[in-house]
Amino acid sequence: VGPDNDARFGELYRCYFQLIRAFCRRRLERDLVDDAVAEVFVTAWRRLDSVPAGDAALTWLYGVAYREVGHQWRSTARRRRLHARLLSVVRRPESAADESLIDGIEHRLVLDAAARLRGTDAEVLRLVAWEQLSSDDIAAVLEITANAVKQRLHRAKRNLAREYRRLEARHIASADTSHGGDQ
Amino acid sequence: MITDNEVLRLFEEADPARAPDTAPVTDAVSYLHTLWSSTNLPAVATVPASIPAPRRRARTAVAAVAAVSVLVLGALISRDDEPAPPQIGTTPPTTTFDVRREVDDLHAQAIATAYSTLSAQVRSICAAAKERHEADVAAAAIDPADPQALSAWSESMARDLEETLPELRALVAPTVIRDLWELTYSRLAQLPTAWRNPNATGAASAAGIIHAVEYEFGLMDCTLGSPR
Repeated sequence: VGPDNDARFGELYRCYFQLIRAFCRRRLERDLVDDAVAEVFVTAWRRLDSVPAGDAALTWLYGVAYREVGHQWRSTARRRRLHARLLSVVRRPESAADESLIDGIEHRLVLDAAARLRGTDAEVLRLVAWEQLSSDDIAAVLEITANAVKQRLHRAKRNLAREYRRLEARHIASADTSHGGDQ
Repeated sequence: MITDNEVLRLFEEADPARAPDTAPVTDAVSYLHTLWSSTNLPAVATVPASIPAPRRRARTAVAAVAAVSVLVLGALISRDDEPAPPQIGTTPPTTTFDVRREVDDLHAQAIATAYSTLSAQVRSICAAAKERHEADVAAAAIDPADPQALSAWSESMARDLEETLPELRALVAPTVIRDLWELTYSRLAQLPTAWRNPNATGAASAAGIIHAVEYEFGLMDCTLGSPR
């Protein structure tokens, strides 16, 4: 059984390591990514018997990664809270990917817009746009119904566009003011 | 004006993982070795390798089930950070052998493994909550040694525990220990109320619940702390 487990783990690692790493890079600061990925694979190793066969293994790993990222978010928020000595709850850094990876003002605006969405709505959006998951797979990752996924995706798309337009207008107005000031 | 679909496309393009990944590529064996050396990874895969020969194994399982309950087994495992197969009972099987002969040692092992995994998850969640609680206490400048600050401290404990309950609730316990976990969780869920009620006594008090969770259910270090 030992060698079988090693082989099974090796298969998971080879097939999904890069995908899980990309998942974490999309959601966490650079220095947290390695730990998060390691946690995912530690969990996979510990629970090899629970990892489903075939493509469903990736969905299972995404589910673990989703919870681990949530844990990292809470840790980050906690550190900030301690640092600032604030009693109020710090907003979760929904879009906490490494800033240096974000290219261009439009991308920065759209990520900021996504960060303003409700937690699960934003996650549905990320899983659709970045992990390219189906509604059923997203439902498995988030442990909600496929119907709820569809509703949240619809709402997320609508709100993302609304927030984007708002941020874009603000950015243009700010640029105009700055430009006028220069003159 | 930019449309909803165009914004979504922008969002797709803004994928932070599109940038090249600078992580060193390694093979599965090396990565597993790294995980082993950097964590207290339970030796799930090595358990079968250390199982004695079938005959002895059957006798051990019978002795195990006869000697200790699942709860005590869980307690033993959760107190021990080192990966190990279930250390159960040294009493040689006597008359219980016939009574219990249908008991499968693999079942006992499944329970042990499941409980070990679950307790590690619970402990990890509670460790994070405890850290959060300590941060809250520090932020609110509550002196834990000050008797006047007892209610503020208890309220903070209750609040942090309440925040943790959804995470604990979301844990999926393997079937073999699901009932046990449901019972444990129901006691943990009573803890915030207990913290807020300094007049509670016995099993309804924070001390009573902590005792039940940590000792009766074997989830050591899984209640954020001890009553002051």
